[in-house]
Amino acid sequence: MEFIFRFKGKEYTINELSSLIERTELFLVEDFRGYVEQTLAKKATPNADLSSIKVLIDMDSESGFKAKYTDPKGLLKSN
Amino acid sequence: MIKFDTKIIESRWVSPTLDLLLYCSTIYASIIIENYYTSEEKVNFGEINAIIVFLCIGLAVFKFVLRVCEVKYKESRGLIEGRLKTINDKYSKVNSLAVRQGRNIQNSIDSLLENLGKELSFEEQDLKIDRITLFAYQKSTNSFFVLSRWSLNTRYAQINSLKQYPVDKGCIGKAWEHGWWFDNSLNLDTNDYNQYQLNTYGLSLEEVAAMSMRSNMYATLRIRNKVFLGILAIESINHDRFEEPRIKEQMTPIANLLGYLVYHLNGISTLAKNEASIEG
Repeated sequence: MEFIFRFKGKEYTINELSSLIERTELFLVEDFRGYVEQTLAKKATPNADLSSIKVLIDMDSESGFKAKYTDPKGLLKSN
Repeated sequence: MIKFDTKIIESRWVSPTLDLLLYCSTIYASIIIENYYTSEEKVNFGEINAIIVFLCIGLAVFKFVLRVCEVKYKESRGLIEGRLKTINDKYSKVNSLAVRQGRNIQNSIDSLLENLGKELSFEEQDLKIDRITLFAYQKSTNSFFVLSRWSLNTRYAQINSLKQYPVDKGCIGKAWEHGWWFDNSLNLDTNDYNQYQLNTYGLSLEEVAAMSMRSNMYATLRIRNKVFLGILAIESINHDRFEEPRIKEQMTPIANLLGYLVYHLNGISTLAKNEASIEG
């Protein structure tokens, strides 16, 4: 899975983001990224190659983190 | 000028009263018609009037019930909207507070590690051979994440930003399993050192080579607050730098304070996950 993070109106990779925020904030972001990864993996068949899935994590939303994914190969079940 | 009170219109009694007036007027009109035509046509207006009266009463009752339901619905909706607004306001405050607290937690953790370093007389060491690291357990990845690191040696203070440390390897893995781990028997030549790391800590040659600090002493303590939260680790190049009982005694109160902070950080993380949305 490829993760992109929207932070203060701009998009970053996790490497770029790690130099912009503090360790505790990075901990929260990484924990959330792991949670999203787990949640999406549960929707796919076991051992499926999920590298084509792109996830945008919006950190700017006032109501908490929001993740939006694109699944061009239709690997994830809708439920 | 007549002052008009809008509350009168909103009253639940207005609509049925108007309906009742309308039906009474109809009945009255019917009676007038009856009186006018009875002498000429043999139509039983009495029965018709009775049916109209019953229908009117039925309609009035029905409309009254509808009106009551409508008013009740509006009241409930207003109440729910008000509560939702309050919840949203509170959530926004909690969210911004969480962000601020996240930063405060960082400052507090950094300060605690620095204070512990000073307490352990790190500054007296001209060689700058020690470092303290706080590893936080990350449930979603089942690994450790470096939250903070302090050393007077800038090279040792560096953090491999996104590295995830396995829970079953190294001195942190030992402390995670046993609660406390002290090892000062690493004063070995390179070959023996590598073999020791592999045999004792499960670290491969590549993993040992990638270490930024070739430590000869480990003191690691598991931190907890209701649940296991992470590891506080002190390393030194000098194998006899610290004595086990003393360093454990000095690490324990700091580990307890760190436990509160990391526990709070986990709470923020859980809140973020609970409130998050994942959409395709």
